[in-house]
Order: sequence, then structure tokens, then C-alpha cells
Amino acid sequence: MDSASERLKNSDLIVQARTSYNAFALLYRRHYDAIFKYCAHRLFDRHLAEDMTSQVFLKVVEKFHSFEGSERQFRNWLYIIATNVVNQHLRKSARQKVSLKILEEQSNIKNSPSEDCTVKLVILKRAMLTLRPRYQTIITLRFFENMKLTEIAEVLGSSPGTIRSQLARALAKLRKKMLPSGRYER
Amino acid sequence: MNNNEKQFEDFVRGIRFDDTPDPNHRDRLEQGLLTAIRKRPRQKEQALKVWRIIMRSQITKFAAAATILIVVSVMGWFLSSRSAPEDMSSFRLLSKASASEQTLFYGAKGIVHIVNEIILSPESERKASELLSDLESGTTKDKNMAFLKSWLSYRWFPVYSLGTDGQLYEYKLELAGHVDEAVTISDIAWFDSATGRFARVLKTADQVLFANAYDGEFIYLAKKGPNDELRVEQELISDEFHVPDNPADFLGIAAGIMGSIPVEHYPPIQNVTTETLQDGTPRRVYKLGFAYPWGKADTYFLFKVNTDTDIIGEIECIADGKTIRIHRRVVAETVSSPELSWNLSELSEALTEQSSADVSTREGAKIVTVEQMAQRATLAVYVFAKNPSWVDDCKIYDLPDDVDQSTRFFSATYRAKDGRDIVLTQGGTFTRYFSTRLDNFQKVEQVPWTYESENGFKAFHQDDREGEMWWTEFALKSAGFEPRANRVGYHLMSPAKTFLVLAINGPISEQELKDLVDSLIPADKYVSSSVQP
Repeated sequence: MDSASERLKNSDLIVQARTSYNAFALLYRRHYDAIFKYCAHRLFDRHLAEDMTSQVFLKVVEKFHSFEGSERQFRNWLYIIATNVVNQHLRKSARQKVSLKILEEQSNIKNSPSEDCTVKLVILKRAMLTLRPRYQTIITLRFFENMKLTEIAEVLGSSPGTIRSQLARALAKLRKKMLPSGRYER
Repeated sequence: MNNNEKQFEDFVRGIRFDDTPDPNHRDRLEQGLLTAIRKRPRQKEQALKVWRIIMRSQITKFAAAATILIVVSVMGWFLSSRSAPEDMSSFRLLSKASASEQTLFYGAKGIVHIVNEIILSPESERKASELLSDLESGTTKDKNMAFLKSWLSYRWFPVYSLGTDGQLYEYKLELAGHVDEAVTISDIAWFDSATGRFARVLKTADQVLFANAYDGEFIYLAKKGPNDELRVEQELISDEFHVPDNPADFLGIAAGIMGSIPVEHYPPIQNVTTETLQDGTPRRVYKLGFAYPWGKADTYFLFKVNTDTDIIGEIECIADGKTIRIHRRVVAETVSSPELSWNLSELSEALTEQSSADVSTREGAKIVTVEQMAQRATLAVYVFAKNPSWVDDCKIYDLPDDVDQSTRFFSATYRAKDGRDIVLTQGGTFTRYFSTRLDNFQKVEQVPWTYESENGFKAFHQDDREGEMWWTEFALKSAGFEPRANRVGYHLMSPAKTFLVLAINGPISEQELKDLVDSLIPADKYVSSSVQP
């Protein structure tokens, strides 16, 4: 492990990032894409996702001095912050409707019913937003971020067994919300 | 995955949503974050905790000493005579030359321009790594000596960078394995004595090897990137930053040598001669050698000091009768402006176009945590599960292994409340080397273990008091402790058949020794069990 690049693969980067702007920038660049995508998959809105991502990393800057852990733990920490930021955003009463409205406008669903994948997106979005934030988080991490149950459990500070049962419940609710439209199956 | 999950996964797969991150947003946010960080008050305590860089004088001494310590401690097992350190007062003969070196940087008005030439020679017939492999295939005294001499030869060249905290960081320049001819490196620097700004670059004819600069606000350092390419990184100086009082400590001709020599362990200067250069310049030549256990200086430096100016003109390192390294002053002058910008901007583009170098640069010694030690180690490494009751501070040094770059040395130093400081050293090459000696030690010399612990450790106390005194003194002084006359040392074999050396700065009882050895656990186990020191 002699080269700087090798060393920066381990938790040294976390240590260095406390005092090195370059190390912090590298840490940021390593995780930006994943956090942006997670936010995007939670909200299905690129601009909102960028705002959320900005908030996530600003919180990281504020709290980084108190973080102690490996880079893997740092990743989990980012997902926790991102989850909180997105949930907080969704909790704002009018947001859900506005968000959905924007999505519908963007996808032009009313004028292009033949765009099946876009329709699916809107249906999924509408159904997802009716779920508890916890269920939204688990479904997003599992099916959009492709995390294993053990990884989700690590991020959410729970056991894989609990996550498994919550995932089953979340999917059951989601299916119920989506089935009337006949759009759950392919 | 059950059927419900599978169906949902298929459904998700049919959704098209552009989730590609926008690089513009990513870059803008990055700049915003870095600005926010710079505006935040610095977390001094945290910074010190995680960014602990110790002064050059200490860490480089340790880096230089560690290899010697390890070898010497093993040598004591089969060599009966050795030379102990003697009076060091004559070493100060060189101090005047060192002081003169300092005046180069602050004695002149304007910008000081220094050009030095470093010539690194490849290892002679066989490399230390090959000699160790040979030794492992069958031990003989000649093979053993050949390896030790190669191991102790000082073929790498120490270079220091100035960090954002004003501390010096050690790097090693060394020839790549495939090189079989001497390589000349130009060490070029400009220093503005009025502002402390400097720019330094080390390069071969076609390769930049190392660069470091300070423009009054930022520190610039050429570092290896993700693909091993060098790139210049810029970092804002910290509140603690200040240019070293003596720039010669990192820009001077003897910076990498005088700073790295564990002076306390050198024998006196063996002789002083004079010579005259071709241009008629007279100079004195000081010969300074290691006090190796076999009683003669197989490796030594020739410091060639210009008589008229008292400035060091050349430093030559000789190992086993052959010159392995020369550091020569070529230019020392005052200029009106530097030819290289204080921010190294001219280098940025050139660096990315470099091909594989004949000379590599790697970091030297640094302080690490137990977790980092566990991560970096390529074989089992150990720490005390619970620190002895008489110590209150522990530092672990991570040191490069010059024989096998895939492994590391680690030396844990424990400062004691009652003066009985402890140094525990372990490493890959040490273990490989010691394994070759084990059969001889047990079968031929039939030396019994002093203590066999239930945790699988075996301890051996060296009977040869003179040898033990030598290496324990070396270990303790290198770690910054003042050795006591009643210090003791042990060799340890771990359950994983790795080898450690243990130096204690004072007498310990049989029970205390047992407690120490019983307390040793693998570093990764220490981390996972969160045992606090």
C-alpha cells in the first residue's frame, strides 16, 4: 500500500479529509454520484435531487469534525443524512403534491399516454409518496441503489431480519396502491 | 428474492428516468463546500488528533533507526563482538558547516536559487530482496552477512515537503527495481527570504519526481494520483503554519541526511582529510560511519566542506566499499525572480504526460492508529490489549520496509509515568529474516525461551548484555526516550510465527513481563473488540 492512491482507498481519506481540502474534495467526489442518485430515486426530480444533495453535503461540512469512522461508515452516514433531508422535504405539506404535479408536467403524461415507461414512473411515484418515509427509503435502497438487505440494515441501523419484514410490508402496500391502475405487472 | 420482489424489480427495470449526475452541479457544489470549509473556524483539537505529524527531527530519526534497530537486535544473537557508541562531541565538527548552510537562505537579499545534483546508484550485484530469498532457501554466514549489508545500505534518498501545518513530511526517493544504471536527479529550488515563499522540484532528464512550493497562501505538492501519475495538489495553509526557521532543514543539501541520521548512535567522525578540487578549491572531508555490530563502518558518509566558505559542497554515501549515493551542490546564487512559479503552474501539465519513472517517490515514516496499522499490515501485528499500568501515552509509527515494499514496519512507543518507557517493533522483513535464524538459534545455540505465554507468545531475553544494551538504547533513543542504564530487551515470537522486539527502559519483574506478553493481541482483534488503551 505504498502509493497515495492506494492509501486513499482506506479510512485514511477520512482522517486526511479533516484537515486537507483536497482529501475532502476527493471524498466528496467519491460519494456525490451515489447520493445524487439516491435523492433522485426518492424524488424522481433531478433539480430537487441536486438541491437535496447540496443540503446533504453542507450538513457533512457542518458535522464532519464529529464523524469518526471508516469510509464505509461514512457512506452509511451520507445515506442517513440524505434520507433525513429527503424525508424532511417530503414532510412539508404541500411538497408532495407540488412534486407530483411537476413530475406530471415534466413527463407530459396526459398528452403522451403511449409513453409507457413514463406512465409507470408517475404511477410509481404517486404510490411511493403515499408510503411511510421508512418504507420509501427501504424500497429505494433495495431496488434503485441495489443494496443488499444487510447493507440497508447497516445504513438504517437495524437488523437484516427487520429490514426483510419491512420490505415485504412496504411492497405489499405499494402493490395495493398500484394494482388498481393495473400497472404493477409489466 | 420472492415473487413479489421479483415482479417489482422487473417493474422498476421498465422505468426510464435520467438519473445521470450533472458534472456542472457536482463541480459547483464542490467549490461551494470548499469555500464553506475555509470559512469555518478550524477544529484545532480534531486536526491535531487526526493529522499528527511530528517534527522531522524525531520521525526521521525513527525512520532511519528502525531498520538498523531491527537488524542489530538480530545480529546480537550470533555476533559476539560489537562496538558501542562512543563520545559524540566530534560530530559537532560538522555543525559549523550546517550553520553556514543556513546562511545561504537568509544571508542573501533577493531570491536564493539552489541547484543540487543527486546521483543514486542501483543495488550492486543482487538486491536485498533477492538476498533475503536466497537466505531463506538455506542459511550460511556469508549469505547472512550479504543480506544484512544490503539491508543496511542507505540507497534511498530522503526528501522533505513542507506541509500546510508548517511541519515537514518525509518521502523517499529510490530507484525503481528495473533500473541497473545510476540515475542523476536535479534538485532545483528557489527561496524568497523576505516572504518565505519557495518552489522546489526534483527531476531526472525527462521525469518530474517531486515538487513542493509555497506561494504565501497555499502549499503545492506533486502527489501520485489514482493512476500513479504525479499531479500538483493545492492546499490552503493552516493557522499553525509558519515557514521553518531554518529552510536548510528541508531545502539544504544536508536536509535529507543530517535530519535523518540518528546522531546519538554514530561513532565519532573517524577522520578528517583535505582535498583540492580541479578549480583549486580546497575542502575538508569528514568521514562519518555507522556503529554496526560487527565493529566497523561498512556504510559511511563523506561530508566534503569547502574550506573557504564552510559550506557543504558534496555528501557521498559509501556502502561496502562502493559509492551508492552522491549529493552535490551545483549552484548557490541570488537571482531576481524564480524560473518556476511559486504555485508550480508550469508543472501541472507536464506531470500528467509522464511515463513510468526510473525513480519512485514514496512516503516515509508516519504515525498511525491501531486500526490503520491493522489495515496496512500484511501479516499479523500485535498490540497490548491493555496498556501497562505504568504508561500513559502510546504512538505507533508506520515505517516503510526497504527490502519488501509490500510490507511495513510498525513500532509502538509507550511513554511511561515512571520512566520505564516501552518500544515494541515488528515487521514483515524482520519476520522473514528472523525465521531464517530460528533453527540456528534453537538447534545450534539451544537457547531456551524465557517465557511461554498461554496466548502463544514466546519471549527470549538476550544473554549478551552488551548487545542488548546497544539495541535497547537505539530503540529507546529513536523513540525519543532517554535510555537508562538498567534498561532491558526481549525478543518475542508470536503465535503466527512473526517476530517482535521489545525494549523496556528499566527493570521489570517477572510478573510484569508475563503480564506484558500475556496482554498481546492481534491489532485487528484490538480494533474489533474496541479495547481502549
